[in-house]
Amino acid sequence: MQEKKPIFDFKKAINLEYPTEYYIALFLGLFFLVVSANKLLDPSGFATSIFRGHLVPYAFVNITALLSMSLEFVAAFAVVFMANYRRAGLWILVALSLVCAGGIAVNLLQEINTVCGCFSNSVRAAPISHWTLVRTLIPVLAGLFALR
Amino acid sequence: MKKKMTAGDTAKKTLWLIFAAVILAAGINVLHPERIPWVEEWGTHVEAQAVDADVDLVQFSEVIDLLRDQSALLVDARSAEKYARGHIPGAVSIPLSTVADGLVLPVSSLPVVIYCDGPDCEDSLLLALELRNAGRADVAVFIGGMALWESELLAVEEGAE
Repeated sequence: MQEKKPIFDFKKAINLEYPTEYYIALFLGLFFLVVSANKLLDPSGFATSIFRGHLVPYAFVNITALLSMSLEFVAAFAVVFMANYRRAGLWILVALSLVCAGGIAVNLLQEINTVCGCFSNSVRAAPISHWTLVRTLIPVLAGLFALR
Repeated sequence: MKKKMTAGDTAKKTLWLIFAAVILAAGINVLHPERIPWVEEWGTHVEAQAVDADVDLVQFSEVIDLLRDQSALLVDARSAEKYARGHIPGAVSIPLSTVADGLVLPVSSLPVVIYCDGPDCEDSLLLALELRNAGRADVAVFIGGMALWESELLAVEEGAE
């Protein structure tokens, strides 16, 4: 008799061959899951954050916000829950973080005083600085480590 | 034998995730109670105009710091009546409407930060441009304005100057 396939294969999902990489990926996935869920709850707020970067052509601000927050959520979901799609999800999260870091770098170079919307939309947040750029690059490095 | 995942497999799976994200974005924007239009002209927003005009922006947390350190002169560009009803503590009133009668430059040598009602109000930007044309280079705009200040439940000063 053929063995019944489980709905969620924990043994497959938890890659104990590379535990450090697995836990880093899991942490990143959970982190971005929370961050993107907040954005999905407030699409208007995230669109404002994208607008405040002043890098996306103004007519494309909303569509960029909708697509990027959905992509972030789907990728983070895949990293946490879909073992077969974990690498693909990680590549997307790394790419999104790189785009965010690039945006911050350009804003810093152009001396546009804005608040970073990559991880939060809080109006009380401090304006972007070199530290914000470093902070945004941490997920990039962590993601690349997990992907190696 | 377990098949090793190739770069091609990963690329294909990445495309599937992107496709899923497009579906999710469309779904979210149909079902969300506060859905946003797919295309919106943000270029008409005051903040975009300020950036285009190369006027410095000041963020909320910076206004708090500037007030605490008394390192900037806060200017309220709204009408004198609105100013009297409530303004950010320490702000002076220079209503935009009075500029036509002759602009009175702030006597303070501190940098000037101008605000008005909120993100949709143009008065602060217009006053900033007037002040800059009159020779004040150190002018910035607090786009969040009174709306953001009040939404954060911060103290408001009442009365005319």
